[in-house]
Amino acid sequence: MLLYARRRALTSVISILGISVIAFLLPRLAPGDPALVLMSDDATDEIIEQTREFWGLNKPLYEQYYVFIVRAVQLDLGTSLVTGRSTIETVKDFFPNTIKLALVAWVWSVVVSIPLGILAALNRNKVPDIVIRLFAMLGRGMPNFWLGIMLILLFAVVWNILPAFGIGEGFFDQAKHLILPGFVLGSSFMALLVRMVRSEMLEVLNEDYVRTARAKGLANRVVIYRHALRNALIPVVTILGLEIGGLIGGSIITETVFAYPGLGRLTVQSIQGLDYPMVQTLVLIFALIYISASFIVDMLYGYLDPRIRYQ
Amino acid sequence: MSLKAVMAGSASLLLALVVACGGAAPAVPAEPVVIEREVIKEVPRDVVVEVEKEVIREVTKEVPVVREVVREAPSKPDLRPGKISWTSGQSLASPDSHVWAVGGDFQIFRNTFEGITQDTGYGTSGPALAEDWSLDPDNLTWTFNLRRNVNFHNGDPVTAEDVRFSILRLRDSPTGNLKFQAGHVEDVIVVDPETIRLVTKAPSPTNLLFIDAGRVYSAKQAEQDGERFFESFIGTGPWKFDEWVPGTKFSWVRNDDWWGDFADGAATNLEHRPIPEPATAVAAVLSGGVDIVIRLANEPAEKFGEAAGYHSVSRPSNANTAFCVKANTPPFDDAKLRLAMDYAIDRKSIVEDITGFGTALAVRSSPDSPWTPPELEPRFFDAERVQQLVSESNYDGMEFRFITRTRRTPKDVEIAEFMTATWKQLGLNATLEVLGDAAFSQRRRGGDYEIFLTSWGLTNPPHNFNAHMIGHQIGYHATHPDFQELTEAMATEMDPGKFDVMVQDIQRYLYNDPACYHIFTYPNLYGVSDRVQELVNVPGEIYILYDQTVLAPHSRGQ
Repeated sequence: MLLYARRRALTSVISILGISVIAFLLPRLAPGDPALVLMSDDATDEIIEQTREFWGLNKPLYEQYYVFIVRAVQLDLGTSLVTGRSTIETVKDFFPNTIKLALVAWVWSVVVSIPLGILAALNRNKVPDIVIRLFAMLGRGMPNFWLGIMLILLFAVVWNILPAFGIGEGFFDQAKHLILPGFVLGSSFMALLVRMVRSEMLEVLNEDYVRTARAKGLANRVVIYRHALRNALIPVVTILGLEIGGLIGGSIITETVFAYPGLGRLTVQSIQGLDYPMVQTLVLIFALIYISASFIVDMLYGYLDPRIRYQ
Repeated sequence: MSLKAVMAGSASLLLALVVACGGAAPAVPAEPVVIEREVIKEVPRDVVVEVEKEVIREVTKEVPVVREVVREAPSKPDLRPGKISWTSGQSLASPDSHVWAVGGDFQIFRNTFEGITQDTGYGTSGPALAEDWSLDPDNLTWTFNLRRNVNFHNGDPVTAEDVRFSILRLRDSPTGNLKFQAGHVEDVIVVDPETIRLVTKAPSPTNLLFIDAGRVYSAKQAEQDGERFFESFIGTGPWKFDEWVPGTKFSWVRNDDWWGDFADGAATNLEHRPIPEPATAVAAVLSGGVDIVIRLANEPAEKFGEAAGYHSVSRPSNANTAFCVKANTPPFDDAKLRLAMDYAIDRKSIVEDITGFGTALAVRSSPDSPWTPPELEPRFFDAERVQQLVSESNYDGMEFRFITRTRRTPKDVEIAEFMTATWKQLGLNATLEVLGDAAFSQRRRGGDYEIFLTSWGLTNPPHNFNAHMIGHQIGYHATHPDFQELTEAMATEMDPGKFDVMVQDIQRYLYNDPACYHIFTYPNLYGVSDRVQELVNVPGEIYILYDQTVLAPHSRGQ
């Protein structure tokens, strides 16, 4: 196990190095020159050239990458071209908000989807199953921007019971501000989980050991929750772990619609402003989160399913 | 941890959130205020028809007044007395006003900081930290007398040394996007603590206009605290920095020590909330989250005008939607084709049918500007004229690239699509490309286009726009040496009267042989909560977008 963990950690480091190259190259491949975006339309060519010079944008790519890597190993991911602030400092302002939002989305999806998935599986092709599947289909099919705007219209404008935008101040106010964006962000994930739990449960309920458990005369509740559900949830755990990374990285649209100050909105702004250092930092952070989540899931797998032995 | 425990924990968390949400008390709609007004007109039977018409006019005049008063009062309780909040799409990027000042930053800086002059619209400047000024006969040396007893928000007095430090810092900033506004400054000399002498490299008629970007910081504090000082928002403006939550809000408290006068009952707090999605911004006002939304398209502005508890405000702006062609390369090096392009723009349809607001333009400046030659009228769509001019030109049906960028103004993409379709019908083969800001800037600067469409909100006199955009970017100068002479002479003309005449001459020149085509100017439309109208403010007190007086009582209504 320890050996596997070490090997897995090593591959994670290699992945991060690879991603650093992509994070560096991708924004530079996008059309546009940051110096032109930074400067006013009235700026002269001389001023534009001075800006390129100041930020080192006129140096060869390999030289820029070398500077980026040398600084990155010293935990300095650069200075934002737009704000002139350290990118890490900027991320610190926004990161906790995104984590809160992703956690709320994740928690509500899990709490709602597992019982619904079980209920649908136990009532296969009956009314509850059909309703739940329809609900899941809607959750998966509705675009976040549309759902977000509709919910704002209903809950903020028509009923005036939840805020339309922003983050709030203090615990209760912040919690209130998290409800709509958290719901929107988690809706698609919830739908995926419902379908997954349902199909896994259906598969497990037909297994011999479930039949044996029933034959032993165990109560239906015990059969379902102790024997069937625990086994059905093993593949679901993989998704649960990976999706927390997905929710953090995938909050761009939700954060924009709800004017929620998180990493997603920061990413959009940075891409629009061709803020290379900020984009690099954000891509690296998203990659780190995703790689860490997948590492933890891999480690958990062996713990949850004793049949799995790492080589 | 068992699965059950995880699920129980998750359920508790969700429940906590639901409880935390609590129940905002349902809004109790206020009783509508009903005003009955009896209008009695005794009209003699033998009265002449004209008099009847007059009576009808008088009676109908009353109707909108009554309808306006009968509106329901806003149902949301006012929890923030004395506070005005507004939303725009952009959040503050850099706290340093010498580094980055566009969009949302501009609004925030104007409330917090001041230069020695301030832009008062249409290329005019008024006093700010400088009370008055004079220009030496050499046309290079300006003497500014600073206001006495002005303090920074931290209590330090403003001195000539601070002004000198700030203007030179802007000029020498390695990255400042407005540094060009101090590029003409040769030196700033401190004469005494209340007087500075500003020397320009050449006669500069735009000095007063441009130098307001040199927002004044405390030189002493900057020396003590280093670069971090420029993140502390200590200025001299009417509003003192209170809190900045990046991406969320920027708030101020009123600076009661400001040298200007606040009106009685003026707001005590001010807040800017960045909301990038226009639909959410509108919802934010309608749900009581903020008081004012700016830069609305026509339809939502009309809705605000109709909604109980809200109104819309329309203010003139100098924003201008225009397109330019590459005048020094085929096919647009042909003056007849360039003129044909002007007649091929259906300005009337754009203003009436696509945007629903705005005024068609003949030249860069708006019709009431002193720089607009009074005899010039906008050219309107004339298909026959276009076809005749095109047939007389050297245009061979070549396809040309037409680029534009998104979200600079409401409906900009629709305008570009409409123009492309109109041109195609007239045999002018345009291929439209809608680009993001970065790609657009690169293509335009690199000359990788035949036509570009964009909008500017420049406060600069039009000659700057024309000389720079047409002269430097499109090569118009190369083919028009007399135009070059005109713009060069104007760039150093210090007599205001002569200057205005020269601007008009330039505009006539460009009207007759265009390379940039000014389609229309449009107002800034605001959606405003009615609670704001109770707060009295005076011009210069609050800057929202490019307006100084959006909240002043006289600004009400369309």
